[in-house]
Amino acid sequence: MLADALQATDQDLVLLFAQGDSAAFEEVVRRHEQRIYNLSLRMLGRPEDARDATQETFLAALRKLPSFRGDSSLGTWLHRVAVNACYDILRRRKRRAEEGLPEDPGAAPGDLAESSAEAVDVQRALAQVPEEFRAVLVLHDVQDLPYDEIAEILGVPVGTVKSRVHRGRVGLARLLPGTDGSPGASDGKMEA
Amino acid sequence: MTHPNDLLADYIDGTLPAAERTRVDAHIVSCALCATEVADAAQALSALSSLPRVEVPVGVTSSVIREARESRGAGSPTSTMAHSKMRFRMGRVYGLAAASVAALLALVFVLGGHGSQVQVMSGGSRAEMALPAADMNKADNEPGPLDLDGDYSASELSALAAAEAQQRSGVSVSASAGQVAGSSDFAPTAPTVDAGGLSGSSAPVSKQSMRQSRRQTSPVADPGKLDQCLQSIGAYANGGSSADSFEAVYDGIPAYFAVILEGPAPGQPADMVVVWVVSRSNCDVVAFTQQRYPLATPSPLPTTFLEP
Repeated sequence: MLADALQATDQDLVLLFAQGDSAAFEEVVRRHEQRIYNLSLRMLGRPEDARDATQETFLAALRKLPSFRGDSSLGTWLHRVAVNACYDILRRRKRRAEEGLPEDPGAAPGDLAESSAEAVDVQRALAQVPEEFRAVLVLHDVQDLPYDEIAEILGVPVGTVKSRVHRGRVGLARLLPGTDGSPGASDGKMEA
Repeated sequence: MTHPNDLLADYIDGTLPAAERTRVDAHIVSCALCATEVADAAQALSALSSLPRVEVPVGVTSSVIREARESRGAGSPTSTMAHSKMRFRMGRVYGLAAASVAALLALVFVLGGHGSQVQVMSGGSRAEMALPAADMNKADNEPGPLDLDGDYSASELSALAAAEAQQRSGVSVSASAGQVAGSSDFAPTAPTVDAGGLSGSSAPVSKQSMRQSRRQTSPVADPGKLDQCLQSIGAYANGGSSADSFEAVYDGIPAYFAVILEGPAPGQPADMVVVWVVSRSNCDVVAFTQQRYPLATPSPLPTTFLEP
């Protein structure tokens, strides 16, 4: 990596990339891949799907970055692309299930690559939270993004984000083992 | 009393202002439903924030990076430029004689002179001067490439070259200059530099306004010395002639800016604007950029930014 890339802002990198510097794109990937991968993993539950979503996000970035105009931060924009990539994958999964094709094993414990039993439980509960609630939970409570940025990523008002976060948290808690809810049987009582 | 549903997310986050917090506290005491919700939500937050951050498995982004390298292309002018840029920088690091740097740069012109986009070669003053810590702080505090501190940056240099080229070609500027103007950091009073490729319009660029409204420039105090500098770095090696020059600061370095027009070979009509930035103290090349004109068809960029 060129030494000056270490000190360049995201905006510098976008400009350098527009000028044909592929090293600038590599630096963009290096800076953002972990957040994008983790977002995808928490949204999708499975490493191979997270892998796909991450690849699709950066492929979209490669195609669209030259026209990126900096109306939002690069990070915000990449998160938006990633959330949409996750929704696409979830949609594909659903379609496959509807067509009666063999369903993926779902959130099988061995599939999660989690380091602790607790993390496996949380991820499994998260997988049962409806998508729009899952997205805000992952963005806010896992990725620590502020409400206004999440509103920008998802294109919904801040009030909606907050209300989804609260409803999502309550719903998730009831899907965790050891609470009065029954894990595995989603009661789906989450309304924005 | 109605349930304070809209406050509960912030309440759990601990970011609710004191007055509202007191209100929620008071409500919870008398509302079992909200008390349960608050307890559940707090438990969920704690569970979610305990999720470990997972390392990206090896190879996830390697195919994309490969594609980026290929699309910016082996054998294309840009990859040649990127390669030369590194060699250029290494030349500075290892203190190669100015003459060999000049020879290298002449090679760059031959190999890289056919692109339609502005190329910037920076001497990497930040990286290679012996002030890494101080400079890094500076970089952190800077609002980006379009800081209005009176210094030129690499992107502004390319915008300048694009403006110079446009003046001589009457064609709209290439994408890189448009990105400079299209950026949200741009001061509202700054002159419009628009890129046909990006927005579809092609507002004329005023080089003068670019230079004078935002940057502190002054005439060259010692033209003889500048000429010597340009000779020594081989700026005229391709048979170019000087079209304009001024003094300004580039990335913290007091520098001469020299606009050279040159053709594909000595004796041929000029079709390239080259802007050299050389240190006033020792004639070191700090940066340079070039822009061909009349501009080739701008690279096909979408007319608007597509929502993902």
